[in-house]
Amino acid sequence: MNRKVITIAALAWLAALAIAAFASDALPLADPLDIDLAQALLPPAAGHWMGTDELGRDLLARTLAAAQSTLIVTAAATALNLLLGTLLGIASGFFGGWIDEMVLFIIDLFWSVPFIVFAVLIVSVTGASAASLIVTIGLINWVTAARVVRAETARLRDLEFVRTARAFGFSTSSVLIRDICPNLLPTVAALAAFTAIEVLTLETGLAFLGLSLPAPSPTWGGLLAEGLDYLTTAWWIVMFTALLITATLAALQVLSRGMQSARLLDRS
Amino acid sequence: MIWRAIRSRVVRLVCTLWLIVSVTFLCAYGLPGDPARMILGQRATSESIAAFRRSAGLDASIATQYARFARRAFRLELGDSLVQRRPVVSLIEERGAQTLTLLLVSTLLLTLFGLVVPVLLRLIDSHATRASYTAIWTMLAVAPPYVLSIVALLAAAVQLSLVPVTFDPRRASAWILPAIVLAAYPIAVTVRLLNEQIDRALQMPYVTAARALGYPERDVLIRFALPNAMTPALAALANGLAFFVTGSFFVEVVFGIGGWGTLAYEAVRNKDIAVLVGVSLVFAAGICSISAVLQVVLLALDPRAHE
Repeated sequence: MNRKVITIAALAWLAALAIAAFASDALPLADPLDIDLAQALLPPAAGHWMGTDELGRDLLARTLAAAQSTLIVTAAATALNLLLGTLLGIASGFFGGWIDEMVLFIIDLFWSVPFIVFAVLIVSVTGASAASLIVTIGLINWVTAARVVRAETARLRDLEFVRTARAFGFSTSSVLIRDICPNLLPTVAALAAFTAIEVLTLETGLAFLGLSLPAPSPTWGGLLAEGLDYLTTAWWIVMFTALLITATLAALQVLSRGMQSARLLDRS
Repeated sequence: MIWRAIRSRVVRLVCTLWLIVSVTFLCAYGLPGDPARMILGQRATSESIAAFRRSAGLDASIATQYARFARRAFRLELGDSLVQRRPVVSLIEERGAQTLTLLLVSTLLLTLFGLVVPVLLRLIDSHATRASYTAIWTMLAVAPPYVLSIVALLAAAVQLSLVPVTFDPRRASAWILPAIVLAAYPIAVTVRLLNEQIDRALQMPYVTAARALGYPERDVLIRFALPNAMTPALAALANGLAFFVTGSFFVEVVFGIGGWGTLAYEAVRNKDIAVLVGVSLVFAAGICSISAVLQVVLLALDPRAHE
């Protein structure tokens, strides 16, 4: 299949998911929190496209409501990761010297510590909320971004046009803003998709362990954990959520690969 | 050269362990919220909280508390679980066997499917098989471990009845499915990296020279290309171990394996902070130490590091 077609399909999937998630209030769906024990554990059928859970709540509505919170947390934490990673990466790659050594040391430390363990610890101590998830994941997961931006900044710094600008006596801040930053944009865009994969995996994983938005509001990880108890009787609870998570991660994967190769083509 | 590299690894390991202890301390004592209330629970009376604060030394300055916490952490004095009313260390010891078995089986499978099988596929020299082998693992690796393990359990246990739904640690075959699920992502990465490295090595002048000298293609692969492709692939293998930590949390919970992952999960559910702190420390420190040792072994194996 054509690479372009796959990329467009991935973008279309993400866009459709986002629209469905944020417009779910307007769609003719059941209330995601509406309990109806008479309708408990119904398999997928006309009234409930994805079936119902153990309390008779409509799973399609719950999955979409969960998508909304998941997408918000993922987008915000990814943005925070990129901001931190880009700032540290630029500082380290552009100035070099002791700044570079210090940043590299921190990167090394963060790289070797299994941070999911601490994400679990931090979120269980601070209590799970959208804000605590965003801050925790946002402060933990910036390492890849910093590494890549650092390498790219160091490469740009030694290119002719940057050296010329500096030779002409433009100030450091002007070189950074006018020459370095615009040329980092493609790198950061490719990193965005990659970071979003890591954040989504981590966020859903935490939710699966019960460390996400408190009880009645649904999350993808929470739906998986719920469905695990009914694996033998109600396969649809886990199946549709698993499919949604995998499809979204696959779409992000396609985008991340696509942007990486576009960048390489651009360079050659 | 190699001693310098080993020394820098050791320095880094010590820094990492210090970071782990400090972050754990910050999580348990530095974050907003009263650790005494957190450990004793919401129903505790203010007298019992005051008594606990005195006995646990929570009324001391933060620096004193930090020093004591670090000293105890390095001596593995992890306190008692107030939910299970037992020392945390004995809980961790008791649950360790299952986690370590899972990690061991996963590592074996990672070596088998990540390194051995790809090389064998090269030997029978079928490009199509090799491409589909890589594609299968890449596709499996898209799903995170919690999704993959649930789907695997649903398919193998519930739909096909290949394995029992409840996990039985004494059956050797019961370990295979969770271990494969856990290893899927590292296998995908290792296979891709190994193939890339072999392809690159096969382009090198020394391979052309070996071919010109009349070595058969099998010898060219095994004796010339493979040793040069191996180091990065082995590094990917070592990275896989770090991934196993994250993954085993979820794989254990889904399959009902009673190891450290499940222990941490129960601790999260019961708000059993002492256990959570203990497991976090042991898990993080253990994995960092293992990966540091592996890195040193890899360095020792790589002749380029001896120069």
